[in-house]
Amino acid sequence: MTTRTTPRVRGGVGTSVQRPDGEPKVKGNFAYASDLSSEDMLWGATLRSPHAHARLVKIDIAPALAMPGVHAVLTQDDVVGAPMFGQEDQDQPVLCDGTARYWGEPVAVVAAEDEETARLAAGAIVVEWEPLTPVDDPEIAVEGGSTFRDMRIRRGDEAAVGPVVVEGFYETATQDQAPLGPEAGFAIPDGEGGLDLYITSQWIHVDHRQIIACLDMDPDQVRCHPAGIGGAFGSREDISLHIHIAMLSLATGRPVKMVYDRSESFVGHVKRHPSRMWYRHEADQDGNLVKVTVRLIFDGGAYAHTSRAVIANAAFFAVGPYRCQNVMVDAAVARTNNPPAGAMRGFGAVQTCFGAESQMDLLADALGLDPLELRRRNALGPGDAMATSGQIIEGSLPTIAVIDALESIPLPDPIASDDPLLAPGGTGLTTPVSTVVRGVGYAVGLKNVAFSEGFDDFAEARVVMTTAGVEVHTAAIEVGQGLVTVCQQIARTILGTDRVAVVWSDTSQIGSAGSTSASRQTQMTGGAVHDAAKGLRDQILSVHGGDELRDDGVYARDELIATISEICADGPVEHHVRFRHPETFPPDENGQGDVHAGFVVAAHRAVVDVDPELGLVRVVQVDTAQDVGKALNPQAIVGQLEGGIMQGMGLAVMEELIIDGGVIRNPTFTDYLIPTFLDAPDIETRIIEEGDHWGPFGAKGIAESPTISSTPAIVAAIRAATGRELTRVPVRPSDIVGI
Amino acid sequence: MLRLPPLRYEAPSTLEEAVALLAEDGALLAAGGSDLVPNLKRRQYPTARTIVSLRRVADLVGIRVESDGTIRIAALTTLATVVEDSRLPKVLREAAGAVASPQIRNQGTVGGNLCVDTRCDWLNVPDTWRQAAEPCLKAGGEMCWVAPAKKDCWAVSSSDLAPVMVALGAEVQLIGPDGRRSIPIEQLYRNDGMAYLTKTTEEILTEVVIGPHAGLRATYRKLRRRGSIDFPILGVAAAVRLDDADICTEARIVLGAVASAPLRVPTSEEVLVGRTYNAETIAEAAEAARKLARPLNNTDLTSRYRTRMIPVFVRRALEELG
Repeated sequence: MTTRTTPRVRGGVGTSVQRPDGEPKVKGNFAYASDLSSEDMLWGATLRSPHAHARLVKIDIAPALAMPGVHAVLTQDDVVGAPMFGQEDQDQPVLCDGTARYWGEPVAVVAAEDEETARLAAGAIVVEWEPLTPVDDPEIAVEGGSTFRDMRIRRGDEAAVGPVVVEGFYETATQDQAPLGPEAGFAIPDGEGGLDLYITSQWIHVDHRQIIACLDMDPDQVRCHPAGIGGAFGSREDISLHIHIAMLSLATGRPVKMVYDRSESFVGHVKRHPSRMWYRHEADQDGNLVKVTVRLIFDGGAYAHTSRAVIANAAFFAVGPYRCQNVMVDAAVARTNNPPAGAMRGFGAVQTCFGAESQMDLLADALGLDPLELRRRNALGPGDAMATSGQIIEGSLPTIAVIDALESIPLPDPIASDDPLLAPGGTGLTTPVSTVVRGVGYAVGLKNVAFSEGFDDFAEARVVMTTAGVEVHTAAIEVGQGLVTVCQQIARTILGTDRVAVVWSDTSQIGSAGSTSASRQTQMTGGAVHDAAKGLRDQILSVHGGDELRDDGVYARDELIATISEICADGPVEHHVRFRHPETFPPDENGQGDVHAGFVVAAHRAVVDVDPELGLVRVVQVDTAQDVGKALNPQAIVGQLEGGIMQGMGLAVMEELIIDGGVIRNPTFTDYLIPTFLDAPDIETRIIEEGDHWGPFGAKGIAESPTISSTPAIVAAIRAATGRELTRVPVRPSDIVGI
Repeated sequence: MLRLPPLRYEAPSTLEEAVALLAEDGALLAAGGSDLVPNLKRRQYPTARTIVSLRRVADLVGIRVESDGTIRIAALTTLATVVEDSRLPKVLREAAGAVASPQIRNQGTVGGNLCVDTRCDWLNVPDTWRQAAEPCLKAGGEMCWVAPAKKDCWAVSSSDLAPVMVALGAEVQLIGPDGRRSIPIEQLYRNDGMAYLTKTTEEILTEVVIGPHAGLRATYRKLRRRGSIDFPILGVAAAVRLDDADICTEARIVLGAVASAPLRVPTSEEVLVGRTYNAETIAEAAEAARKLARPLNNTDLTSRYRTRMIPVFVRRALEELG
């Protein structure tokens, strides 16, 4: 008989477990998709459209095919299955179908013995183009009725008026996810007409669905395996080279590798929608919002991708985490000849948070109120109705708590004169400390978790007890956010053992986990692992008549009654779950309804030092308080908060794809600027744990929140320092100087 | 991944061999390679056949400070070495420290930075982009995309050290097929985005020499959006000498990144020399710099903004020296 008390399992929920991929990534040992190779492989390369809009008059692949070492040159004529792909709407041809609709659209793909030959062969294809005028202004596209979706929200009384009115026009530029790992894929023929694809993806099952449709193959003929990812942020939610490498591999019977170069990556994935936003806020004299009127135009680029969901999100979060009875939103996402836009961290809520929070500051000014006090007065909480959809907030939403926690963080000291590198201008030594002006700004942001509007959103997981430990089987993608540890921690806590391994499964072995996006995997796959582990535990306890599962077996009243070997006497024991979040519904014609599954709120405070004469900004500190439900892994949360703030800071002061006539003018890391380590602010975080109603242990997904309100907080701080209106992000030095 | 084109790599052990190799068609000189390699990967040198590296040539690394204050910096001395050498004037160390990032400064060299290729938004893009438009002058085409009406190349001199060396009145040692020669560094540069150096392609810059400079006050400031890494979109080097009565006896003001060469600003220098060095003369000199430079829209941010910042930058540099 054993007398020990219940052991506390190591590495369970609530501890800062180290990520298994952390050390290999730092040491350079992590196998990214671009590291995959085999001796007999071919290299793929892509010929792209040199026009934003053009008719393909004639294409001659013969010169490329004639080159030594070239094994295949494929065009749209070689697509045997569905000619089009797309996650929501299948509207994009696999390869150019006679009209190029954006600059860099894939026209033909080549497989050759080596990378340089493939590249040269792509260049040897002769194409005759008839250039057409590109539509590069989304407003003109909307006027012409060329949209992917128009969203209309009508809540309350359109005729309502408030005595205090503020209006503004806001713009956000095109931000790129700029993942360090470029698009990469590896296709291996199985010798029986099928394929194994090793791809970078945020959702291998939805990629699989699109791939087999275009290849006209049965689901079990193609197996999609997740390959090592160097960042995603939404850029891998849509197909890039996946179908191309499959076609090349089938055509040649050889493994095919394709890796985009950095510049190709900039045209090879969807970006954050640039936006134009017209806002009117009306309030009473106490600062209570009376009516918010919003018009949004987002540029979706040439193909749909996730534009329809993005514009809905932008519209539903157009007011922010505030109560308001009367809300009118007219939103449209335009179809243009600009680079296609799609998912990026924050998914539409980033743009409207910039507009809405800029408005809240204007309103606070107009009322002579403290900006945080105005936000507290209007704060949305549990039981309140969403200003836009009217949905009643279930679960937790600690809007006031995050504002209070943020305010309690001490402000940083004034700029020190002893380290000139920490002044605006950095190593350029542009700015005497005496000329620096400091500003402080705030913003609060609201975001939904998981998929909305009635989408059948689920995640599958299988938890398996073996004599060697527990395996968690999932197709959920780890993009670097820390999902593997979260799954391990949940299983450990429920199953009483620290021996838990997460096994990435391919599309033939397990059902979909849904997308690694929308801040959803901690709650969705985490929820599936939670329920599967609990089901497995209950099943084992019931079979053996125990009351507790520990590392070494089943216990009844503190006595070991069945060892792990005995539990697994007939082989591994498993439990499989398909987890669904609370049901959501499509909005009605007025945009009303229970469209979202859950909500998460965060607040940011930015402190900036500005050189007003040069227009240079140093972001000194960005603090945040984040609603997390329950902190499953506190260190992973801090990592997400810091990384998200860096991305939000990028949009605030530097990240912008310059697009001219549909052409990206800065497709390199020399010219597309992302914050360097010297630009990185100090960051203080506060974690607010008010358990939610459906996440595992009450946890919420938090991946997007830090990117949403950090941008407007930084801009508010620059406004405070300079007195400039600053209605566009990124804020440029010339905007601050006023030229 | 961006890859290098197929190239022959030569690393001779003597300067004479290097000079001979540079006479071959398609030969390109490499010092640290930190600018050359990315340019090659973007296929900016379509005629390149051979890389002639100076890595194995003896005596091309090191800094000597002679008894009279003369500084001799061998061409392959890294920028990081300059940053860390406390014997060197602050202006040099700060200018070297403003180049790129710590990793690149460990690789990049003084000679490489002084001879760094001119840059342009229309040129420093991958070949897919250059091929999509008509190639520009510097890419072997017929027109300039930045100033289509002009017949010149406006690619931008992007060295941080060059304006400083001009302000300090440095000289450079060159070796070529006809032997060695020494020229004032100001004469090394030509305001032409394509032929931006006066030295022949067979000549190698071996050393930069800064003569005795006691009493000379100098500074360098570099403008760009981020705190680190990026090339300048405006640089100002200023060097002045003041007598006991605060009369300016010597002034050199040099703008970087606004033309295809470091640009002396004689109009500003003339304002200063012979006059009391005070806020009024500084303001006048700064204003006089406005008229000279005409930056174009071929770097980050707009030419309008850069133009407006020139007098601000000159004023701040001069104020620091007062």
